[in-house]
Amino acid sequence: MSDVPEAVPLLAVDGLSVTFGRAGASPAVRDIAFTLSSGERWGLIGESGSGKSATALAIMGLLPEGVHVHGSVRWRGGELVGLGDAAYSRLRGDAMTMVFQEPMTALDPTMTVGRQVAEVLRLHYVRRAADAQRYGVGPERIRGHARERVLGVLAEVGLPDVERIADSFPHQLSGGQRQLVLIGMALMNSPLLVICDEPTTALDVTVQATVLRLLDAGLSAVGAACLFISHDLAVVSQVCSQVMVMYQGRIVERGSLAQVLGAPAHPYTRGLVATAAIDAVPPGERLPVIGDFWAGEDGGRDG
Amino acid sequence: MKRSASLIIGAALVGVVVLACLVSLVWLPFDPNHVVPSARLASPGWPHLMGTDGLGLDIFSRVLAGSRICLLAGIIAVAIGAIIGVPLGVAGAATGGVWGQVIMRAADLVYAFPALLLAILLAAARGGGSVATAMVAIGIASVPAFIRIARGASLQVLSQDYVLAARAAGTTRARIAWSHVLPNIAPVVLVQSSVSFGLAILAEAALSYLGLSAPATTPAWGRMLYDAQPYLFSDPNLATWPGLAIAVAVLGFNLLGDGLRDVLDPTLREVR
Repeated sequence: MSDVPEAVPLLAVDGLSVTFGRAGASPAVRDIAFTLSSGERWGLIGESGSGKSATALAIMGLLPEGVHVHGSVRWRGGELVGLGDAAYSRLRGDAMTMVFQEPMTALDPTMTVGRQVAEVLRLHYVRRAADAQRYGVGPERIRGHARERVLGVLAEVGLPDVERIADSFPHQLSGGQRQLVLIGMALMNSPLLVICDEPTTALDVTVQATVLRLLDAGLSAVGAACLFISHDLAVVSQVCSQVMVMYQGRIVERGSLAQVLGAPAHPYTRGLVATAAIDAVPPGERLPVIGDFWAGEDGGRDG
Repeated sequence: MKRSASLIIGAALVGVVVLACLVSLVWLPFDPNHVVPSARLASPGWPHLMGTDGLGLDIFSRVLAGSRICLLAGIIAVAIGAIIGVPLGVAGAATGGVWGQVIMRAADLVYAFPALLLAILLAAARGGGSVATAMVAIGIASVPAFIRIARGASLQVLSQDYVLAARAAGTTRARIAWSHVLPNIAPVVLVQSSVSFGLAILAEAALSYLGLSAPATTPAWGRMLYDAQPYLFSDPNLATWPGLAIAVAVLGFNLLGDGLRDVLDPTLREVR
């Protein structure tokens, strides 16, 4: 423990458990711990129900009421578990943002895209002194520049014809375009951490590649740290340099991408790596499944 | 937008009532309060298109003029119901917990009180019936329906991904209620407004029939039914016209509500 601010990690998760339903039910996240420093990009991989999304929502403080969160989530040294909604709201969307899995439903159908992007700007504009300097006006005047900022943000994430997109309603855009809008919204306030929860899972493969490239560029441009959740090793490897493997609510393995992919230590990870290598299977032979490598701690029956 | 038979018929019937009201504001064939004893109980014809009543008043003029009270009752009752009910319903859904329960139980309490009883109570408390008392009573009675419908729709909106995404972007609960919940429950509230409008017209007619709403000098359809009572068998004409007018207005707003629901609510549309 050091008092030097530089030594305090951006995000320190310690002993975090998340239990849905009644206390005493089987927890979705079991006693996990990890730290994330400024600019680091960690992948968090695991199958459906392994607790990845619950971990992300616990960090963002977005779990519904009645979900029990235990342990500690420290943001630059300050405790987030139990933080009030008003204080959390100032952090969310500004220093800490999130991109969700489903772009088709993550935008309000009754609002134009431009208005929704501007909303994220306005929510936090008072504290964005840097912007005030850039435009040579006081923070209270930023409001009038929202339109220019919105168009700039949409252009930065590679969207064409930004004027038209800003005036469109979500249903008039494709899934890929909507996800780019959402990524733009997540990056526009120059966050310190972006949590991506399977941001490309709902997109087809060619769009996936474009979105990942633009996300990668955007993260680099603002220098944000990233926690990238996915079930797909190939996708994680395009954005992250380090990876954690989550299984049944626990982090079973972590390390650099090369280390985890090259020499997986945990049998579950070995299964994950082997099942991803479909091109290694001779035609006609059965594809490997994770069960070939790892039957789970309790026989693989209890989910 | 899908065509809906009930929307078209409902809109047409409501249009007839609104047209009658607008016409009555600028022109009436006879003064609706001008008593002509020599012309009493005339049959429909010329110059009294719908005949005259027991005092010799022109029924057509009174039916036209009666649409004003009818529409006023609907507008005021729906305004009171929506302005009080919708915010409470949204707040009940957004806050959840104890306050949500308190709001819902209070709504149930008012729900259990019939509009007529409420109007009679209010009239007694104020020492006599008046149009304003009747409309306020009908409005208060329609509040619980708005609370329920707004709360149900808000809960559905609050479970949507875009609300979670907005929360992740730092939007506070109050702002989510204003900028995301209200626009998305607007169609449901519109449907409820139309249905409540019909119910308010019916309730106002009942109250004026009982003498708890408009005074005798103000033409109102329910009041006309009351005045027609002694002549029900000798001159059914007197009761037919205002009765028909009430039926057209209530049916119109109910069909309009149904039609709007068909057009605006995609989940119900698929079921049919």
